[in-house]
Amino acid sequence: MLSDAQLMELVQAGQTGLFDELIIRHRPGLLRFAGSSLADRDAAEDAVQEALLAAFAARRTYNPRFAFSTWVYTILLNVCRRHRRRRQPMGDSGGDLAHWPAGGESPLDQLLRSETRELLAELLAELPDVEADALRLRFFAGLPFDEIALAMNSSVTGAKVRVRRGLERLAARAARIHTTAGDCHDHSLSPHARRSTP
Amino acid sequence: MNCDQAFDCLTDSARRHSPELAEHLARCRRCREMEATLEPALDLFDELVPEPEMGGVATARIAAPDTVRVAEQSASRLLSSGARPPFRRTLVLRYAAAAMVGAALMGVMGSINNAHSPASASKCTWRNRVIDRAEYPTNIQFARACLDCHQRGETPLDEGAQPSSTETPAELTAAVDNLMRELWNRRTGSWDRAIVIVPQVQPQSLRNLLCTAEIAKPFGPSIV
Repeated sequence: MLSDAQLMELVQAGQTGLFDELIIRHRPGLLRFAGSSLADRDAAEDAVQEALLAAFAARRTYNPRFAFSTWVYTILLNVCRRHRRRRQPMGDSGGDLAHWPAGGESPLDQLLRSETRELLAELLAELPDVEADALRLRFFAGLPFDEIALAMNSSVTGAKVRVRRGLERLAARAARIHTTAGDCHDHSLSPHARRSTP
Repeated sequence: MNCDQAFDCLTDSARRHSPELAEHLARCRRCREMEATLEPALDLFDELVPEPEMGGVATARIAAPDTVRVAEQSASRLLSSGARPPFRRTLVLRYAAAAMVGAALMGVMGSINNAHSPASASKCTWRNRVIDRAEYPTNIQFARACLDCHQRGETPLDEGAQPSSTETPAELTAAVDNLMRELWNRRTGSWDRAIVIVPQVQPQSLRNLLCTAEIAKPFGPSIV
């Protein structure tokens, strides 16, 4: 199987149809990232499309010395930031995420998962942008820390610090929600129990 | 597995419950504490893997000119960073170069002044002081003395050099040993030259040296 870099070299040489293969490889991760970042599926699809189209249009500037994934996530990071700046604060728009269907799951599983997703979207929206983006690149895009560092123009250690601090804040908030939900309803699964709190 | 690698595993859903990480956590209290602290957040991410398919509709059909510009600028930046985190790779190369120059100077000066300035004296560029090499019969002992000095404190820590992070002294030492061994094998040609690197690591902390080692994989897989 050809590597991303090999595919891009062929695309640069004129076999533009091979760009489809790169889209197939990277689109799911890109969508996870954009979905979390924008909390709106249409906007996320648009952002990913925009990033991929831009990568294709600028294909001659790609160089195999850097990873295609780093490049396309760097573009997407910028696109998502621009989308967020254009919009009003997210408010409860994260709820849109809760309705994404999950294939093969029971209705209850879907409900629980969508509630977790909504909770996570809300918690991420409360974080400083750099920490939230670092967490998205790590957990939704699955990038290694050196690629996160490149995409965010930071050091590797800086990227790890952002992820760790973001996780610490998220954990603290999640624990508080846990406690509150437990106090109110004595539910044990409280990210989900939180949703049933009046 | 060192603590840095443990953090990588902890934040990777596929490896979070691996035996290797469990083994590390069993013997490292700090990582256990970190894992316990981060667990509520990690569980949230774990619950969402794999993510469902999106059902949205993209409306973009042509590339937006400003996004294309972003793509071009990103490519240029990534290229100029040498496809590695810019600061750290530069740091490695800078210190490697400094080490070579320093070693060359030391060699020249040693050959010129051999009668007056014994080869057993080395200058620590961090503290700007001369170290009596006779106190450290082997190169590795000398390197470890540098390591101790950096670890004792005094080294300014930037955001990327958290004092709370995670390697044990033994792991730090091992990692530096590995780094220098690799530099010796691949780049510098001798322990004396490799050793110059350790005093050169200022004003960054030793922690940064290890992070530098981590991204210095082109030097060889045994660094970390």
